Amino acid sequence: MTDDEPSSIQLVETAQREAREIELKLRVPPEHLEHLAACPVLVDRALGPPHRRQLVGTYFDTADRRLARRGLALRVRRIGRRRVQTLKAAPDAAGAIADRPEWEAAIAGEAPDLTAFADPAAREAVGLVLPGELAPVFETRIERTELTVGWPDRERPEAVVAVAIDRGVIRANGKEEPVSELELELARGPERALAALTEALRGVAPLAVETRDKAARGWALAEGLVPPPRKAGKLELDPELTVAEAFRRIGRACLGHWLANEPAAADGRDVEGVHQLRVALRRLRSAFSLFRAVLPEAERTRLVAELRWLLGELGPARDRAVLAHDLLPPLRGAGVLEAELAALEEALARGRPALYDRVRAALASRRYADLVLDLAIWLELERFREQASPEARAILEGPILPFARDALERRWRKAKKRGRKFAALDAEERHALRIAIKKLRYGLDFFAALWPGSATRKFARRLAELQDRLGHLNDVVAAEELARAVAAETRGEPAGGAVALAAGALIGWYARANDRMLREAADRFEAFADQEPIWRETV
Amino acid sequence: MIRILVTNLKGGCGKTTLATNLAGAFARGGLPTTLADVDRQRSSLAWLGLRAATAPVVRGVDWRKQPGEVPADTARLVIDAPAAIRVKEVEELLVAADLVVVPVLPSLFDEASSARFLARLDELKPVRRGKKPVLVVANRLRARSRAVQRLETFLTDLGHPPVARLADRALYGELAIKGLSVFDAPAREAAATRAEWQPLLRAIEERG
Repeated sequence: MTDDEPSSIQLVETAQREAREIELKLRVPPEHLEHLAACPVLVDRALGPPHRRQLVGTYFDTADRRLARRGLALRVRRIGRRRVQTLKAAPDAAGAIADRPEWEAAIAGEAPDLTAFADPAAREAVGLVLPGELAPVFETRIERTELTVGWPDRERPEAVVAVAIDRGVIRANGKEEPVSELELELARGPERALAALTEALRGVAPLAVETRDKAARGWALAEGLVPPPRKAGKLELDPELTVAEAFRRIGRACLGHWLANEPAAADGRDVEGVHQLRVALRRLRSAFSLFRAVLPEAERTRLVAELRWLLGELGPARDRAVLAHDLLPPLRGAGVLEAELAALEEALARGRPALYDRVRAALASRRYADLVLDLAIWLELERFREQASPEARAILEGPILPFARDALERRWRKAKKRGRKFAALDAEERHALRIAIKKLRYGLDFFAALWPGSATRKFARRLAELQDRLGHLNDVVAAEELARAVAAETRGEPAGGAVALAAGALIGWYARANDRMLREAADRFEAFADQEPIWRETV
Repeated sequence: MIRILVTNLKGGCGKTTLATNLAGAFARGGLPTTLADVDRQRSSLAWLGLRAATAPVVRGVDWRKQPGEVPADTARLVIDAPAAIRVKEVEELLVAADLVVVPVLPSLFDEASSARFLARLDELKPVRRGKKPVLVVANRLRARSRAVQRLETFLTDLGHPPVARLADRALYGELAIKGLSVFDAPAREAAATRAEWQPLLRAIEERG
């Protein structure tokens, strides 16, 4: 460090004034906070002495919550006599790291002044807000210990991370919730420094990735608002990428999709939350399978087993939702067994809270927190590369295009083989075909960006249509399994007989549609298998 | 930038009042606003000429010859289309806009021409494809009159239920001669009027 290097506190300020905030937020049990602030991992690398500040932040929105609906949080923070206004947009899902636009401006009064933002993009993000429309919704009172840490990196210069250790409360409508967390914000240098620092700090205190920022927690406390379930974002892959980099990007996109749905899954009011989280987990598992040959066996097996555990904990809640919201409604209104179907619906609703308790318990567990952090660090620091065999490493450092072509070709061949003599397949063979098709679909989802164009879209559409029909066939199997399970659970209860009748009706209903679905699936399979795979084109 | 085209086939339906008040709202909200006047009568630009120096800035551009440049930092552009415009001209102006606002009066004489205009508008490609929303405003309403109810039913039947309902008020005229909008007036005088504009402003901000 040179003499004219700014002091640590100024560095933090500089980082905050930039248009993006790149941050990893971690939950810490309160009894560990003090200890963290004094730990050698931070103290020995500190670029200056720690500072302690009292921060009072008030969050504003319009009466109709326009900002929240745009994914924006507007905060006025009191720092001594100064007032700083900050606008944050919803983060991009970049694995465990939140990367979001952020604007900051000094203001004169207690109320926000949107014209104070110099960047027109901030005003455009908010849209029209007339004077007097903004009112306080909730507030945070935080005692923050902050220090700036230099983190060595294989690239010079070293990364600089602004560390904030926060203890305090969020207050809304007379309710209060404690805050006990650690924020690592990248001031400069590569993002992997955040993962490396987190890894080092795991030895000091038990940490968990915090998926909700203070604004999200404030909204939950004030009005029970929860970030809505999100679908997987579009993945950008460049043919020039190495296999390792492509895997890292795919992995962190899956992890980002997963974590974005964690609040909605834990909340449970929208069944889509658990569903999307499970989709993210299955995509991740599929990525592990797609890159199987180049990933270190031991760690891959361990992580996949953990994903399977989590899928299992979330499975029953999802299955019952499918039964209640997808499979059962078509039977209602058919004019038969109305009372019995209502009894089945009621039995499903009764069982729901316990299933979501199980989801919440899993998401709050140490095992879950460790899985998320293990994965995030393994991906960000490319541990899979360090652990790889020399042969695997050679492939990892090679280009993604031929790798993707081989992987898709393998899955394509397997799917075609499984579907040969489609009409003669028994249920088990059809199941195997469905799995093969699903694997190809996920593979294509990840790699489609390598072959942009209408041919790819058409190929993907045909694949999706086939998968859809095969999915219907699977619904029959699922309906039977689920209906049997609910009937077994309610046996002996007063409504048991009615539930059993309804369960039987449900199974029959789907079995009846089987023939038509089979014919449709056979047609779709033919159309699909006749295509020229898009990845062969450029050969 | 959001570009709003204010237009109707017939004159005298409050087009300029709508355009100037929209511009006034955006400027009051601190968004850099430009008002483009295409009307031969230059009413919008005349309004700007009267505008008090203390009111938030609205910049004016003269588009009477053809659509042209707007100041680079413009966040909201309000285009005041000519009265007695042809659909072909609307189509040309639509290129320079993201959405259309159509004021309609509760008058039997206006209904036929409004119906024709909206139907033609719906046929234009960007509108048909849902790329450029059409927002209909029921304008100059007299409280609880039978004509108001008629207009409501009429517009809903056309597939264009009114996005906002603006009452007939002397306030608009009193403010216009000072180059002001209802968003420039003291809150106690204009609160109820401004509330009527909220659904329209909301719809514009959500782009339909």
